[in-house]
Amino acid sequence: MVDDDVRHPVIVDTDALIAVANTSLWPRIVGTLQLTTTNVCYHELTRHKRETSEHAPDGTREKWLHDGCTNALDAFDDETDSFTVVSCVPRPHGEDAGEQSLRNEIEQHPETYRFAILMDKHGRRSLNRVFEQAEGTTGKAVAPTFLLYLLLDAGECTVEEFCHACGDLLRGEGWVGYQAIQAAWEAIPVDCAQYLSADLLP
Amino acid sequence: MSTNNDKIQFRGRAEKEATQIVDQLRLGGINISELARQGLAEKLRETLSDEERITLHQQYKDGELSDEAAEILLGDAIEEIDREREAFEEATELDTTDVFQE
Repeated sequence: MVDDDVRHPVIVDTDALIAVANTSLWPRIVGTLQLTTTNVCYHELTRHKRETSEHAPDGTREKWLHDGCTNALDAFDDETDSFTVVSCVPRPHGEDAGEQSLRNEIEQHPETYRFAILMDKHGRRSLNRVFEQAEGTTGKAVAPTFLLYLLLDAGECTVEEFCHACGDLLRGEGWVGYQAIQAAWEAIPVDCAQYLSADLLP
Repeated sequence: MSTNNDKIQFRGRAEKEATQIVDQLRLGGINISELARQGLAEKLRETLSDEERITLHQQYKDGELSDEAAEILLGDAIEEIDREREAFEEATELDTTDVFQE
């Protein structure tokens, strides 16, 4: 784990990492983007990985958690400085510790962060308030689909690859993932209907 | 304006008795229709699976579901998708220096 306090403009929480690390575009994200997470999120990933089995049946939440955590941890454990883990002081505890650690980081280093990536809509809303109140910075909290968009916008993946990765998110994150995907498709805008099978998109 | 066509009727002997008890307990009674409307909406939302919600949202987008029915069935999801779309659009306008590896 690279813990040298290198802070990249994109900070990602536990659930968002699990979501994107399960998509077919994750290796591309690892090879292209620079991401930061907190030690709290890193430990949540470690705990989820420990508490779930790699032999859980495909399609289960347990398998989704295990694979996502394993893929995400591999990227942060790699000795490159593209994926960094920063220590959060004071260290928050409890159910929302991961989200709270992002909030602390952004409040303490508002000039550093431009994009906060969270799966939870309440978390995004709360961090957008932090960005709005912070002086001398413009940042936005968005859903994990934004990481896929960054690849698409930079020409690092095709529309078809982007759509398939959205399909992966949809399979694993259900209704929550669907809302994030709809928002992204409307914002970009992009039409994935021809690339996704009818059972994914009724 | 409500008409006879809006009427929902269902059987429920024990529920009726329980309702009457609370109605008599309260000064001025209770608004049974309002409670039933709220309770039904809440339960309908709760029973939906993820797949059903997605199907309903697609129907809403295609104009096959009224705004009122969509609000009952999908809650604040439509608003939430709008809010996220706006945040997403604003995020695409931000500077991406140092977002990508060298």
